[in-house]
Amino acid sequence: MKLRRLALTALGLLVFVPGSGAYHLLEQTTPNGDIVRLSWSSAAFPVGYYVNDRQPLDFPLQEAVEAVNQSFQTWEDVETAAITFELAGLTDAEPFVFFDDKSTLGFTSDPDLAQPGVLAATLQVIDIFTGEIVEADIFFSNLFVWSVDPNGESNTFDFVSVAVHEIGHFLGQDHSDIGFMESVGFERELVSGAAVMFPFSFGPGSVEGRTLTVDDETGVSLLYATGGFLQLTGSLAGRVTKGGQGVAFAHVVAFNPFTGETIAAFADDNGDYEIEGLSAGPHTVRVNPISDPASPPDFGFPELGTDLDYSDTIFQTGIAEVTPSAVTRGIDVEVER
Amino acid sequence: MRGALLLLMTALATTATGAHAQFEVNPSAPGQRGMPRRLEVSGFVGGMTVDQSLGTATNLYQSVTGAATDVTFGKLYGFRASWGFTPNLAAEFNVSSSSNAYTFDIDDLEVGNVALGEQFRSDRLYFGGNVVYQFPKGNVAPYVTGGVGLARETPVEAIAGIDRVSALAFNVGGGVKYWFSSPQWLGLRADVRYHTANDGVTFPAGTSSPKGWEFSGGASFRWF
Repeated sequence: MKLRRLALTALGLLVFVPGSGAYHLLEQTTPNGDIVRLSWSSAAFPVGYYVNDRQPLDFPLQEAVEAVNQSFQTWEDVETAAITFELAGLTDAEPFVFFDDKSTLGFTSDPDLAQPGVLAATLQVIDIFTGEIVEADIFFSNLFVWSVDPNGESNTFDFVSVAVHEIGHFLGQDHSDIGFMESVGFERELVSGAAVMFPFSFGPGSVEGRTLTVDDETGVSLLYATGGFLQLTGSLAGRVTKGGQGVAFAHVVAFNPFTGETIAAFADDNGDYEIEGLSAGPHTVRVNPISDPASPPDFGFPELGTDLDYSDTIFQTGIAEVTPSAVTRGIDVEVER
Repeated sequence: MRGALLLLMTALATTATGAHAQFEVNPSAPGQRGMPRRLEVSGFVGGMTVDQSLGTATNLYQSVTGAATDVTFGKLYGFRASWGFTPNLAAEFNVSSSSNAYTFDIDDLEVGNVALGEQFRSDRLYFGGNVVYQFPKGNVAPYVTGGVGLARETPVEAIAGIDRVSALAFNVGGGVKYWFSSPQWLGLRADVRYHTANDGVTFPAGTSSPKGWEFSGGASFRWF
């Protein structure tokens, strides 16, 4: 592959905000004007990854390697996605050196990367014509104290939870907006059940981020579908409007009360949306703007071009019935300020 | 109950295997009170009240409760066949089909309470046996009845993980039959029955005990 076809893209950050599933897939506009989803080629599996051989500050290197393996395995265990990984070995390559054909994970104290509030990030090298991911590096910030304790450890961040989130980016997923912060005493905490791909962590001591939600699994299954996933699931599609005009980048959440599955997607800049990967049956559909502490750039949307000025609204003018292998259209929602 | 079930099974077996051979013709007094052993066949249409909860399902944003509480007049139809052992006692086999319409109600953290109206339908097929005790007087025969059977509920559109729910069902009720003087083999009937079942379509955390009133009317035919 020629180097000139490759570009560095998609900075996926997991942010910790003190006191603070919709899948969303990374996309790229090609030089031809096509929009393609970023993903690894099926020929790339098992995808090999390296672990930086520098001793982490908070636990032995071997425990870091085991935690990384466990995190990759979490995604590999998704039955409706055909993905496999293998540890290629330890390396002295840094996790932010690109075009070295090594997908590397490691800790860093580099002040350009380890910034306040940023726990970790994933950076990818892609083929700009096809959207194929050819390399992805993940760094974890040494500004924070980490733990690999299976039960979590107070005042430390769970390394596995954060690694699982970053590997979601590694695979081509963007942030999900399924989640919000709730007040607990004088603190704000991420609500239980939020998607692993929500841009903010569950906070110190929590290991909830080790467990994928249906929204997370749906995202990766759409990219690497297997096991009849696309045949067994369907889509809801419609338009979000305000005063008859499309609402750019509205967040649309579908809930199937028979399966308990909550899956969401974002509308495009015209307010048109399609939520894929939904199980058969009736769904409730609600629309909400991206809300504090998240912001449009957390999801790759422009700050100024994203409409945030409307109230949460529920689709209630018909039946949002999902049929396998089909798209149910006309699930339109008019929102108000 | 076991005795009643045995009686029902015996009666149904008799009806199924030997109905033609066992028609007993009594030309001396057709259609009169006290006429023993007769086969009746009825078709009926009507409506059914439905009272069935799906339970509640919750996610980060909302709780959804589902229920069928409508009256499906015009959606009920079926067939009954009975064999009279005595002028008063008969065993009856029933098959009926009805339709349930389910609505959702949402309690949303931000939006509040929202009633979504009908969200899906299911078809209910019931088949079972009843014991019927009649009080014939002239052309009219009021009756009371009770029985047991199997209720099968099938969503009209696909729902993930739910193909069909089968449940043990019970019913009690009564009604009245009117037999014409001419032709004597033709009659009309009106029935009211209360149905319950021990399971039905639900959300994962829900438990279901569907119940409802069946109101029906139909035409009956009999052989002596």
